[in-house]
Formats: sequence, C-alpha cells, structure tokens
Amino acid sequence: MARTSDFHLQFQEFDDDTTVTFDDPIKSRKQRSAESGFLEDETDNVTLNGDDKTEFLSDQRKSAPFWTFEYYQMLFDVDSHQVKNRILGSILPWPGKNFVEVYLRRKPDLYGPFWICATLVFAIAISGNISSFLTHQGQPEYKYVPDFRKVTMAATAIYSYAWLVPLALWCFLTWRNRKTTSLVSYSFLQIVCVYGYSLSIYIPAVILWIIPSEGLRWCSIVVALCLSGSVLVMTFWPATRDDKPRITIAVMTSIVILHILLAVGCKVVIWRAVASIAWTVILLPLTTALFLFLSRFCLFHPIQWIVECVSLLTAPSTIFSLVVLCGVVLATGFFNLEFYTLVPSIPCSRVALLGTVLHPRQCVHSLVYCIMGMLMMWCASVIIGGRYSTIGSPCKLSESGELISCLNEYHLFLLLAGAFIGYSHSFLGVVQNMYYVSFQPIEQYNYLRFKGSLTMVVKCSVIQALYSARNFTVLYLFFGYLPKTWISSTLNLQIDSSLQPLDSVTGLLDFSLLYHLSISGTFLYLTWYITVLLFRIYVTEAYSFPVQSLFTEDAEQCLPKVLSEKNTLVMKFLALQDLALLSQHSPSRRQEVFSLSQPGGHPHNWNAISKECLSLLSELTQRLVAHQDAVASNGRIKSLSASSDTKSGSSGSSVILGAEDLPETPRPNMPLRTPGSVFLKSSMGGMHGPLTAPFTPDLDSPFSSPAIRRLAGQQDPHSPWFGSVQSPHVMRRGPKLWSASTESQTNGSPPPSPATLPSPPPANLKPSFLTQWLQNRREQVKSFLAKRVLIMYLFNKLPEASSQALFADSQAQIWALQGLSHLVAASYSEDQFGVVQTTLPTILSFLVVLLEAVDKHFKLPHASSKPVRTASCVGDSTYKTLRFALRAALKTAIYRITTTFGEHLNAVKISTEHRKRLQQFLEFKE
Amino acid sequence: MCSLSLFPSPRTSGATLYEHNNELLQGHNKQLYDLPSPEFSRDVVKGHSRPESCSSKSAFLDQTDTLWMRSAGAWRDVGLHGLLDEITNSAEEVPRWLAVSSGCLLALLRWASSFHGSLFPHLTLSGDEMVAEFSQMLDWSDSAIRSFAWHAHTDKFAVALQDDSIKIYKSNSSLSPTLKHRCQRSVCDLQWKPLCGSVLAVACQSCLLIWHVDPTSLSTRPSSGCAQVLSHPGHSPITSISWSPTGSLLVSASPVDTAMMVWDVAAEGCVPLQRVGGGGVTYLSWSPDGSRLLAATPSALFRVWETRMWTCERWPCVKGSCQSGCWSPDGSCLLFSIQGERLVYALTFSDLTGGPKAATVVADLSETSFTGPDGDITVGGEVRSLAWDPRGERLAVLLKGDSQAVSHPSVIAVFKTRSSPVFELLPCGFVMGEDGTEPRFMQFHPHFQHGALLTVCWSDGHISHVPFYFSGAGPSAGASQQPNTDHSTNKLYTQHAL
Repeated sequence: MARTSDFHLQFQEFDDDTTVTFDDPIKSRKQRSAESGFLEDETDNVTLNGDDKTEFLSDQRKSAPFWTFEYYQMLFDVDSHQVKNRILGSILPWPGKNFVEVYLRRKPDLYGPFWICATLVFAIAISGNISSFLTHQGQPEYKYVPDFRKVTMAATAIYSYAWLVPLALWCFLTWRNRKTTSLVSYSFLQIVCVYGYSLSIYIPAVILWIIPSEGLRWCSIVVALCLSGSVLVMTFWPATRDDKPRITIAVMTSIVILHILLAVGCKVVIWRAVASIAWTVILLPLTTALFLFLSRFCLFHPIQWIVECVSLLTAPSTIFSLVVLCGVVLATGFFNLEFYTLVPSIPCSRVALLGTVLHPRQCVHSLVYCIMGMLMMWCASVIIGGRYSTIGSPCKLSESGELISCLNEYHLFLLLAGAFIGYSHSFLGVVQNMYYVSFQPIEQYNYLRFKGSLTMVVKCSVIQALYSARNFTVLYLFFGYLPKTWISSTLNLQIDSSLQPLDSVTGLLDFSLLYHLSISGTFLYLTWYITVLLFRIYVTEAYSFPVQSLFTEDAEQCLPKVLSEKNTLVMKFLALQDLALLSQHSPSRRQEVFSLSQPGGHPHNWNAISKECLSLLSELTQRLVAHQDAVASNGRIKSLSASSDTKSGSSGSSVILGAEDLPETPRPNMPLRTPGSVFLKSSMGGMHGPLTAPFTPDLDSPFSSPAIRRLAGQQDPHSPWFGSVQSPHVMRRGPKLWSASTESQTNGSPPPSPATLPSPPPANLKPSFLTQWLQNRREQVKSFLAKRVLIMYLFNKLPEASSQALFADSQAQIWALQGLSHLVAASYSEDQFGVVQTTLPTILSFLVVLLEAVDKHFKLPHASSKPVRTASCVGDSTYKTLRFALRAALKTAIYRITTTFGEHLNAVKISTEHRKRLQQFLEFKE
Repeated sequence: MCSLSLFPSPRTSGATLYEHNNELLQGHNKQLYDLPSPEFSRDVVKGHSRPESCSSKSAFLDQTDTLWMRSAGAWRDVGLHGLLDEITNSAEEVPRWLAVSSGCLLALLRWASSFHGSLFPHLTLSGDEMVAEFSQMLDWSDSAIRSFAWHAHTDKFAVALQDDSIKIYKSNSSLSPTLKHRCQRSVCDLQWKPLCGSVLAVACQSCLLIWHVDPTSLSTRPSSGCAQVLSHPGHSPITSISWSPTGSLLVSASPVDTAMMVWDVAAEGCVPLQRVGGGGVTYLSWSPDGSRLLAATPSALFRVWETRMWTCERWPCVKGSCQSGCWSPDGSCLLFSIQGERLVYALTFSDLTGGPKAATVVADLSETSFTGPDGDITVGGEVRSLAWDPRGERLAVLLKGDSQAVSHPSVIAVFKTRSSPVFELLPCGFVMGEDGTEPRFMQFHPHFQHGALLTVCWSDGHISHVPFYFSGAGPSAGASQQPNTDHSTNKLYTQHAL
C-alpha cells in the first residue's frame, strides 16, 4: 500500500508542477480555463512571497526517488518562519485564501504536522492529568497517580486521525479525478500536511481543559473546531467544486463530521472500548469482502464471478468505500459508548416505553443511526455497482443535445432503506435493551466467546434484515413517492418516465433488487451487531485486581478500594466479579483477604470487603422493605391525600395537563431515571444513581409512603421528588401518576406533592368550594379516560415491570453473596487469625433479613410469575430473571455457610428468630 | 493392575447385605438400614403405549384435502422432509417438473443425511433408542426404574419410573410425592441441586425440567407449576446432566448437539459451549472439587474441561466411545471406561506436572469363571457404569453380562481404592442380588457416616442399600480396620504392574 501511494505521490507532484508552471502548456491552459481566478490569485502570491527560488530549487530536488534518504530529508526541510506562517494560516481562516495555494504550494512538509501532533498528544495527556488532579484535590483520600495510558491513547487517536483521514480523502479525490478531469489535484502529502497543521489550534484549546469547567471545555473545543474546520473546508472546496454538487456537499460534510468526531473522541478514554472497536474495524474488511462476493453472485458464471470480484477488491472505489465504512464503524463504536448500560432501564407502562423512545437522547441516537445507515448503504451501493452506484444517471438528450441526468431510483431506494434500517435498529435497541451489558454465568476467552456467538449474530442479522426489507418495501410502496419527488426537485434530477417506477407492485417485484436489499441490510445489521457484541465481550472480561499492594501508588487499584468506589459503575461491577471469582478459585488471594495489616494487625482487607458487600445487601433489603410498605399501605395514603385536598387537586389538574401534552413532549427528567451509561461518572449516575434509579418508577406510584420518599430522596439527589419538584417539567411526568391512579380509581389518588406546584393561589383561600369542584372534575375526567381502551392500554402498568425494576442491578448483589459466602466457607479452614469470626453473626443476620424481604417480595402478585421467554436475538433479556437468580444465589449462600459450619452455628450469637430460620437451612427444609 | 481373578468367589445364595471386617456378607433379611427401599413391579408402572411419532394423525379418519392444505400440514408437522414427501407422493396433482424436482431434492437430502449418519451412526437412532444407548441405566428401555438420584445432603432420593413419573422418598417419612409433567417423557437422568433443599433437575426427551419440591409441603402431587422448563432448539434428547458442586451452574448434554449447555438455572439463561468433533455429548461428570468436567462424546473421543476459563483437553480413544467415568473426591483422578472394552482406565491430573500424557489401565475386567456350589458362574464384561464413594475408599463397577446365558449375569464388582502413596485398586467383592435379579444402576450415598452406602436398582424393580462399614484412613479413624500390614502384598495389584 505504502509503495503504491508513494508512486502516486511522485506522479501527482509532478502533475502538480505542470499545472502551475510552464512545463506542460496544454494542461496548464486547461487548468487555467477551468479556474482562472484562482490561478491568478496564486501566481500573485508566488511573486509576492518571493520564495520562488527555493520553490524551484526544491522542484529540482524532487527528482530524488522515494527510497532515497534525500527524498525524506526534503520533507523536513522547512524554515521556522515558514512553519510559523503555516500555523498562523491554519488557525486563521481568511476568506478566499486557500491554505495549500498560499502556504504550502508544492512544498508540503512533514515537520510541522509531526511536531504538532506530538505536542497535541502530550498536551492532552498533561492537561487530562492535571485536571483530574484538580477535581480530586479537595478529597483527603485522593492520591495523585499519573495516568500514562492517556498518552498512548491520545497518540493512537491523533496519529491515526492525521494519517487515515487524509488517506481516505486522497483515495476519494483520486477516484473522482478519473471521472472529472478538471479538478484541482492535491497530492497525498499536501493533504497530510493540511490536516497536520489544522490540528495546531487544538493545542491551546486542550490546555484550556485544565480549568475544571465542563462548559468552558466544550466551548474551547467548539471554537477550535470551527476555526480549523473552516480552513479545511476552504482548502478542499476548489478540489471538489467542479464535481457534481451533491458530491461536493457529501465530501464537505464528511470532512466536517470527521473533524467533529476527533474533537469529541478526545474525551473518551477507555481502553477496553477502544480494543473492541479496533477489532470491529479489523473485522470490517472481511465482512465487506464477503458482502462484495455475495452481492455480485452469479450462479451461471462462477469463474467470471470470482475473477471479477477479486479484481474489484482492489479497485479504488472499493477501497474508498472501505475507508468510509471504517470511519462509520469507528463513529458508531464511539457513539454507542454513551448508550451502553449495566443497569437496564425498565419502563413501567407502555407510555413510559413511548417516552423512552421519544426521549431526546434516543432521538439523537435514531438520527445518528439513520445517517450512519444511509452512509453505509451508500458505500454498499458503490460496492455493488451496476445500476445502484450513483443517484443521477444520464438518461436522455434534451432539445439542445445535452445529456440530462435523471434520478436513479434504485440508488435512492437503497439509501432510504439504509435510513430505515438505521432507525429500526435504534428503535429495537431501546425496546429490547440492546445496550444492556450483562455478565455471563461462566468465563471464557474472548476469542472463543466471539466464535461461539458469531453464528447467532449472523443468524439474527439475516432474520432482522429480512424483516426490515419486508417492512421497508411495504413502506416504500405507499410512501415512496414523497422522498422521490423531493429529491428530484431539490437536486434538479428528472424522473425517467420510461422506466418502471419503483413504488409500484410490479416495480418492487424485482428479485435482484430485493436480494440486494436484504444482502446489504444483513451487512449493516451484522456490522452493528458485531460492534455491540465485541464491546460486551471486552467489557465483561474478568479483571484481576490486586487484593493488597506493597506500593502506595497502586493502592488505588486494590480490590477493597475499587469496591468502595462510587465513581464508575463498571469498575465496581468488575471488582465484585473479581471478588466472586477469587473467593471460589484462588486460595492464595483468599489468604490475602484474611491477612492482617503488618503494623497494627488489623484485618483491613476483610473489613473493607465485608462492609461493602453488606452495605450492598442492606441497601437491597431496604429497597424491598420500602416497596412492600408502599404496596401494603395504599389505604392510609388515600385518606391522607384526601385531607390535603388542595395539593392533590392541583396535582390532579396538572396530571391531566401532563397527560395531554405527553406524546409530543418527552419528559426532560428522564435521563435522571434512565440509569447512567456504563462510563458515566457520579455526576450523572454513579453508584447511587443507578442503584436507586430503578426504584424511582415505583416512587411515582401514588401509594408511595413518605418513608420511601425520604429514603430515595436522601440517597438519590436526582430523584424527581428531591426538592427539584418545583420545575414544571416534573409535571410532565404526569402520566406516571395518572397511570397509577387510573389503575385504581377507587382507592387511589395522586400523592401529596411535597413541593410547590403551579397551582392556582386562590385554592388556598377558598378550599371548600374549589377543591370540591376540582375533585369532581377530576373524577369525571378520570372516569371518562378510563373508558377509552387505548388510554387504558397505554397507561396500565406492565405487570412485572416494578419487580424487574427493583432487581435491575441485582448482579452486584449476586456477586456480593457469592463472594461473601465462599469467603466465609473458606474461612472455616483457612482463616488463621479468626478474622471472619467476628463478623459472622452480622453476615448471617444480614442474609436472613434479606431472605425474609425477598420471600415477602415473591409473595406479591406478579413477582413470582415467570417472564415470557422472548426469542429476541441480540437484545439481552437476562435482566428479566435477575430476581430469581438473586433468590437462588441467596439461598445457596446461606446453605453454603450452614453446611460448612454445621453444628458450630449454634455457638454463634444471633437472635432467636434468625436461629430458627437457620435451623431450617441446617435441616435442608428450605 | 487388578483383575477379577483376584476376587473372592461370588456366592449365589441370597443378596449381598453389607460389608463388615472386609467381608461382604450375604443373607435374606431385607431391611437392614433405616432407609426406604421401595419396589416397583413392571406391571404397575407400565408406560403408556404411546405411538412413536407424536402426531395425532392416526387417530383421525383420512380426509381428502386439497394439495395445498396437505402440504401446509406436512410442513407444520414434519418440516421440509414432509413437504417434499407430500409433493412427491401426489405427483398427479402437481406439475410434473415440481414433482420430479422435489423427488430429486428428497433423494439428495436422504443421501446427505445418510452420509452424515455414516459419520456419526448414533444420529440414525430414534429418540428413545438413543436414550437407551447412552443412559447409565443398564437396559434402560426395559427397566421399571429409569433413573435414580440421592440428594446431596439429606436422606432423600428420587426415582424416575417407566410411566414417566418421578417419586421422591425420604427416610422417616411415609410421604412420597409423585411428580408428573406434560413434558416429562423418557427420563434419562436425575440430579439434585447441591447446596439446596428442594431443586431437582430432570433430563427429559425434549427438555430439561427443574422441579422445586418443597420439603415441608404435605402434598403428594406437586403441581406442574412447580417445574421450570428449560429448552434450547436442537438440544434434545438430553441424556446427561450435572450440577456444579457449588450449585450455581447446570450442564446438560445431548447426543445430537455438539454443544453442551451451561445453564444459569434461576435466570433461565444458557451458554452453549461448542467444539467441533464428536458429533454430540453423551455423558457429563463434574469433579467433586468443581475444577474439571468430563464430557464424553458418541465417537472415540472425550473431553476434559477445566471450569475456570472453560477450555478443554481432547482425549481421543483408540476404539469406542467413553461409556462412563467418575472422579476421585479431590478431583485429581479420573477413572473411565470405554464402550466395548473390559478395562478401567485412570487419568491423574495435577497442577504441577501440567496434566497427564496418557491414560493408564488400572483394572482388567474380562470374563472370569468361578466354580461355586451350584455350578459355574461367569463374571466380567463391558463396564457399564462406575461409581466412587465420596470418601474415595470404594469403587463400584457395573459389569454387563450376557443376557442370553444364565450363568453370566450382570454384576457389580467392588474395589477398595487407595490414592496414596500410589493409586491402587484392591479387590473387595461382588454385590449380588436375590436369585434371578441383575443390577441395573448403582449410586453411592453422598454422606454416609460409617463408611459407604451403595444403593442398587435391581432388574425386578426393587431398590436396595448395601452399606460398607469401614473407617476411613482419615484422621478420625481411631481403631483402624483397614489392614495396614499387608501393604507389601497389595503391591502386587497396583499401578506399577502396567
């Protein structure tokens, strides 16, 4: 690859010379006629700058072939004032000034780009470290540890951006050059140089990141983005200007989009995610080649088919689309990072589900996936070639003898299908919780896990693609004329009336069209599913934390520290998983847990671990007890709210308001309830957020007792009931309130809201009349709405949802139970210092209390009913059965302890009820 | 190597009652130990005379349908084969080309499946035949008792009967709940969940059933709502299941599925573990320490999985598939037998040496004749199943006899085992039943206080318990009945003879 590009490079540069100077008068004239304005401008500059001598000298030196040292020496041969000018030029976009024409001309250097990239890498790393130091400065237990991984990460990202994007752009320009001859041609080195210099503005922007203010950081990034982006746009504008307008637009937008991606990508620094995305990209050529072979499949000429496909594999158009596909996959990979979650969001009613689908976050996701789908489909149609390759095709001669281009409906059909597939992927993703990352019951090596699930993924993507193809075909049959007329009018393409229109039954009954549609749909789904699959595999890989470390620098990485960490949920999960594994499999690490600290002789490790596990368990117990209280005490709440009629009346009215404007207004406080993404810091979700978040749906029920509200309010400042209820947004949550109250009209009414509501002030003055009236109205409206089947359908609570939501994060508790019980069981023979014995009564009573709470929960209606097993492909539905898994893990944990200790348990000090319960376990009567 | 000729001569009068002072005693008084020993005669538990195919077609009169309806029905009932068959059979109603092409396709399919079947002959068997072939129960299809399982911690066992019901017996309780379920057909294996009082896993013809039998309940017929149904497409019939010793995972195997399933039972999720080769998995056995898992395949190959990262070692056999296997209590030694051979092999795993290179023969069980008071008796044959008691002191081997010859019955040979300093097998004796009965299945009681307790299912449908009283070589053994003095003579039979 490098060899060929170098050849091109020489050739191109030689070409370039001819355009400006006098060596090739014919071509020069042609060029001049094509864009005379620019050339004049440029010659002016050349004379003004007075660098002609050096320029021409360098031209002569250019004859050095690329394998000699001189050739590369030349690339670094710049003066400092030239570099300075170039940097300034890249920072300040000046209308009409082309960066290449003005500053680089025929002498691109690699000196500037290389050092700018290096500086940027270190600036990112240093400012990242400093800013993390500054944010943690106040905390006493924080120890500054330099994170050198930031350097490698940033280096990978920046250098690959500075090389790969120019490569793609150059491929594309060369490809287009074959079709239209009158383009300004840039050499590969020139493009690299432009991109390298355009990064220079980021250095001051990144230094500004030190200031710990999220807003300022984004501001600086946006400013830098605009400046350097506009330089890029102005540089590449003439290169594409003469091509058809839509190509121009496409190239320009993709340049800008890639640039934006770089700016955003700087902020995401997660090693495993990057590994998974890298693997996805590495796998992409394989799937693309497969797709190419399948798309050109020809039963009757197998040899010709294979030969043709092999030659196509190396064609510039294929390579270009491959590069674009890589970009798209990278973008989806990084974009998805914001959406992965360890705790699934479980909508409690159909309206809540609708709200999730219409949520702005989800809308952005759908939009991005639509665009990605279209881009990928465009690449696919370029790869398929033939009648699909371009959107406009010359079809007929006009009166004046010119060719008029017509709209190629096949291309449009595929593009729209891409958008449709993108949307349906995004939609199914939220409905089936595709971004929920669940942990496997067993460990496997990544490669084997991937191999094992590959067939499933392929099968799923084929099935899903067939469904999508069917749905899209039907959709296009009825509504296909809309985009068709719109595109043809905006792009000034005529509709060829001689061809069969595609939005008719006969037009769509085209086997090859449908075949290509489903094949490319499969390709799209497969790529996306593989992205998700690889991410899941990489993130859930077990990580082994040291139990204790000899060096204080690594203290942050130790298991007890990470367990008690509240910042990143995924680290906590990994630590718990590691705890469960070490307690089962590794005697030497168990020994470390049971060990005493060297000076002092305190069992710090065991104390920290057991404390953290027990706090997890007790939190679940509290949640369950609160939920049972809420269910049990609906009657009391009713009388309470009836007395405080003002508030309930006002909230009732606003409930109706909320219900009316619901479908258009997705609730803005949803992100608080949707559990934070895997990587979100505590500011957003944190450990407390997601842990209590699943419970919030039940807070909405009018039956929630004040006790829970207090509990949730204390633990979760983001809970809608915590203070911030004043915001009118909360009232948009009305449907939730409403759903519950419709469900139980007879005894339910909205809860007394603890905050001021947009209620009419006169209500306080004349409660007797107005409240009466409001009460009546509300009853009327309620009974009116309750009779409408659709509304009941939408607002009725899904039966199991509240149970599922309560146990949504139970994986953490399951591991805690496994880890604790194995450690306690092992302590029977391995614990030399009796470290565990002191906490044994506490652990046993916690377990029994939790067991009682869980047993009680399973006596509630719907709690013990099994979920319907859905055959959803990639979407993970293990969260639906987590409560059963938790119950089983709990019982097994107690059994493990009782069978190990046996009769010795009678010597442990616990209360009589607990002892009675444990006796049941000793006799195997549970 | 130990061989049957070193064994004391089997006595044919009366059933074996117990072992005491290194001697197996015979007698006729039945109930010696306080455990339920039920008896099931074959007439009482006669299975339903179900037709082999599950379609109810034969119950209805023939009706002339349109070809379209018939094809749809055939597609729904039998799948592609049925559809093609239907089209080919009604050649006069369809265009000629369609009939011919479907006929060709059908022939092609048959050829392909027969080719596949010639690679893996077991695939040509029907469901019940396959279960009978790979079950640990000797003569499974003819036996009144289909499977048997002790509970890991209590004196409680479950018995699967020929009429597809399961009965649960407890010591000192006359209550025996009967479990029946619509999906509970052709039960091949039963396993109680360790570290749990109530959960019983049942391997059925079409699915895996997880019963939750409440030990405190007084009901004799738990409803089928107490059972979880776990199934995975292409994973039936299930011939073997095994719980992990920690009770968290369940592994199931089917001879037609190359993947074995690792189930997270409570969450109803499964992870298929697939490896190429073997054509299926027939028998699973988890080592008592939970670190390894034996998975036998229908072809001459078995695998030993390590359960940390779930990677496997392949163990190709020279001839025949692995029929049965058992682990020593510490999980370091695996004994297994090969179908059609009269040998017991041993594999010793240790973390230090990086695993064994080849299996060693530890016992030769070829036919040996003993002359008794009432005629000759031949003992020995193919090893059908192996069982090792939880203390690692007694090894029971079920030897298949010749069903034609009266003087060559199936017997259980019991060895004494010792693992230190070198692994050795010493002869102990034969466990015989009442006259005319043969053992079908055996299992050791998982926590017998005074030694080992072997439970045997007999061909006449009764279950008996044979205690072996000994005190182990462990530290608690005060008055050692184990003959320590004859170490030198015992060397004769040990491994070094190989």
